[in-house]
Amino acid sequence: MTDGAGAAGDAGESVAVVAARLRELGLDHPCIDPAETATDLADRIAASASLDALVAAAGQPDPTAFDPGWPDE
Amino acid sequence: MTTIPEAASALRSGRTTSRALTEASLAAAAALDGDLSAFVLIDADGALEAAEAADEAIAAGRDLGPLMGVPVGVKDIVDMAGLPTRCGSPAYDATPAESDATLVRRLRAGGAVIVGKTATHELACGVYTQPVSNPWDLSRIPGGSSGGSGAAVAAGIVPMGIGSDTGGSIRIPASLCGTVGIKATYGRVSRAGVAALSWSLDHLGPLTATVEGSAAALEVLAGPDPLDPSASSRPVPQYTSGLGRGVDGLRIGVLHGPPVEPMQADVAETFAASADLLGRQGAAMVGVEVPELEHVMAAEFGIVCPEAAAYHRDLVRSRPDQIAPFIRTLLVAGLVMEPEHYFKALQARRAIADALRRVFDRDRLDALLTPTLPATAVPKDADDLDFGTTTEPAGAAYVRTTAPFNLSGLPALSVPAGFDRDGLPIGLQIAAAPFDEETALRVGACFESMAGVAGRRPPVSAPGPGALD
Repeated sequence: MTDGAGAAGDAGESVAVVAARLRELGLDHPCIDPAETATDLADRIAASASLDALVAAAGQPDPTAFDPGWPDE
Repeated sequence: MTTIPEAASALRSGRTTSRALTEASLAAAAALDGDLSAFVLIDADGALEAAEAADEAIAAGRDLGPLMGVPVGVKDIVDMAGLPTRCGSPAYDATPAESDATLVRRLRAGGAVIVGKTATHELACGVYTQPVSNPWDLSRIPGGSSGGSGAAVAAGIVPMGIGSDTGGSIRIPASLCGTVGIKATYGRVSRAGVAALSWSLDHLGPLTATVEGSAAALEVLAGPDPLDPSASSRPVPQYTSGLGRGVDGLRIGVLHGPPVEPMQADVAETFAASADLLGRQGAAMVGVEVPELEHVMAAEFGIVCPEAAAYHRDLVRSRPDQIAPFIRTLLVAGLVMEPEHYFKALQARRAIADALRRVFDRDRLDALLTPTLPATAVPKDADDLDFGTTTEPAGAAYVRTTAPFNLSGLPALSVPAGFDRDGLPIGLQIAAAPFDEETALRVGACFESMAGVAGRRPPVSAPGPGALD
């Protein structure tokens, strides 16, 4: 799996790709189903895509510098 | 229910002893926990030893702070030397922790008496906390993931329970069980020695019977810690000192739109009445919307998923069959997904935090109100909440109103606000600017004093005030 299009597109292909990725990561366990994982990933990638407009409107903020304070107070 | 202020007063005046309070707490746990399952471990010997030490300190005229001699419970994701940290998971073994978490050291230094470890939803990742029962209705969930602490405090077994909060896990059980709970600003309370769910969203804090109890507990728990790089070095105020100042002159936002709606009718009615009550006390109430909060769930889980997967990487590879399916799916996704999604969620977090700040600035707000949750406690066997025109998984519905303040790091307090038609508690959430826990607590104390909700006991609760008689 390399991006959302693969996972959310051809279901058969995405399951095969996900299965290969699970093997690569050492996650090829009987209780981890590649088809269920592919479906779940498609949902999560769709959720991620729903953030595109928000992030763009915010000007692509630096994601690595979160500070809970309001520095110029 | 014996509260922290009541216990502190009685201890100092000689009307009770820490040993008596601790024995009452242990007796209440023995009597009630068959129904509640709030505790996963009772440390009677350790508690009685700590109680004796507290009584000796009191007799010697030493004052270790507001929790001196007070029985407390600690969520079982927090390390206590000599006891196992099981995290609500069969995958964790019984190996004792080698040292105390920083907050446990703070509790011990403050003379608190830790009676045991409270139940958590598995890996602190969920809102059901099975098999714990809600003291207001044993067929319903206590919320989570700090459900054991919520049930134990609501039932009066202990005046305080420690919780953790990644998307609402202090405030959710506080709301569903009818207690107070506060998640202070990110970094106020050290996370060192606590199992992580999501490093950048995790907070620790107290669940208590009263706002004053939470303020007192926070004075003990908050502060810098070289063992936690996120811990703030800002001075910790005396939170209890400003509780009686009222709300006259404050400007308080009332959040509408996403993610507050939809909500149950009884919750909506209580929320409106709560805002009206604060307005009648002299606060200027300002209706606000923050459209960016529509994206809270995508941002929250976009961060939790990869961070939890990274923390539990070895576990999910070696023993995935010992992890509940919902959590296992989340952890696997976190390992498989490309990092771009994580970074995008972090960017969204910044956007949401900035949006909240703009609202505080634009409307010159001192605090922001939401219902803590859009619904009351769901039956244990129910997956979804019914909002009339729509249904929603409970695990999502219970997080969407609390998670904005994990993403932004802002302090947020839940205080009991009323009851629904079935007699189940409803909570009011009060958020404030960064490191301004004082204002959230001040508003909460004013509300608590006027709302007439505090002090109502659930059907399953310890006889009280017990050791104070």
